[in-house]
Amino acid sequence: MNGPPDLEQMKQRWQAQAVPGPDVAALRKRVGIDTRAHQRTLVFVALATLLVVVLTLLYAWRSARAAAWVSFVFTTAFAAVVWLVALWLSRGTWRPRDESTAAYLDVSIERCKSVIVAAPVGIALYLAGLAGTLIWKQRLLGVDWDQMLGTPAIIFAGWIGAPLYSLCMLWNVQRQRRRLAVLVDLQRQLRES
Amino acid sequence: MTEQTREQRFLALLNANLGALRRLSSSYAGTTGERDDLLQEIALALWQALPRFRGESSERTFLFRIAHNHCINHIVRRKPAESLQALELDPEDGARPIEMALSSAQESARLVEAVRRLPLIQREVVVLALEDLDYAEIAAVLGISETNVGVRLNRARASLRKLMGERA
Repeated sequence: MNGPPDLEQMKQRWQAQAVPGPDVAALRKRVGIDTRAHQRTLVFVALATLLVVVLTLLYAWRSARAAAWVSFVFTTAFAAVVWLVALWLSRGTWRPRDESTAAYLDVSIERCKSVIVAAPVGIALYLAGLAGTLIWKQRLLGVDWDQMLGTPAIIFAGWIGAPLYSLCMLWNVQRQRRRLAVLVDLQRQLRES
Repeated sequence: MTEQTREQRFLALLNANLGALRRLSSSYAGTTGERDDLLQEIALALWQALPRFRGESSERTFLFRIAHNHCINHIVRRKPAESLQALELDPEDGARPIEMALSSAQESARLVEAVRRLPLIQREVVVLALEDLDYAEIAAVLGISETNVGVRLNRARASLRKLMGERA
């Protein structure tokens, strides 16, 4: 009859496990790929912002209309606001203060809270950007409302894009709320135990 | 830290601890795919964190801290409702031990299954203890006191005994 194993027996059994998986070379390769992908994403977002600003600047430069300069100022200000808000909301969420579990939980909780706060802000900024574009077109370019609201760009970015973006944000908020509850519970358990 | 030093330390740490990391990932991940993804996340996190290593703890403790944090993150992300529930080992549970096995491989598998069934608060301590980390190292990895490690480990061992049963 076998009794339950003691800790030393358990250690032997545990360490005797043959767990297959990627080797060091495969892991190193994958780390390189992921690191480069992360860097490329950051560069892409920064370049995309810069490209939009430069394109509106070129458009304003070539155009004789004052509306084009208004577009440039609006776009630049809007991009700056989006970046500043994003940086403001993500403060304290970049990395844990150290590698301890407590610090990791703290930063994970802050990240969840940040996403929850960012969602309505993101929706508001999306709608503000859309509204600003529509008002700019109507007031400064004199485009008729009815004509404007039926264009493919407005249908895609407005009628479809705005509700879809809002729904995605709200879905993510729900997800983050559930995750936050678990993390807070875990933090409580770790403090109590 | 130069890129070359970083690379050398990264590879040395992974080479020395790959088996332990695989076992650790395996005890928190449900499927092979999840385990490999988790291992990959740990490797990436280690690579990113290495420049911040200031020698306040041993490199092994540092590595296990990173790995453990990512394991927690993995289970919180994967199945938040179940991940933290305390395992109620009532008499009925005790009467349903994991099936006894005969071979050494099966015994290991039985132990792994029992460990996976532990509540997180016990599992995280027992997994590190099974990897031969002492109380001080486990306390440093989890950020708790050594006394706390002892208490949790005792509870975990009691739970494991019940889960693994006493019949042949």
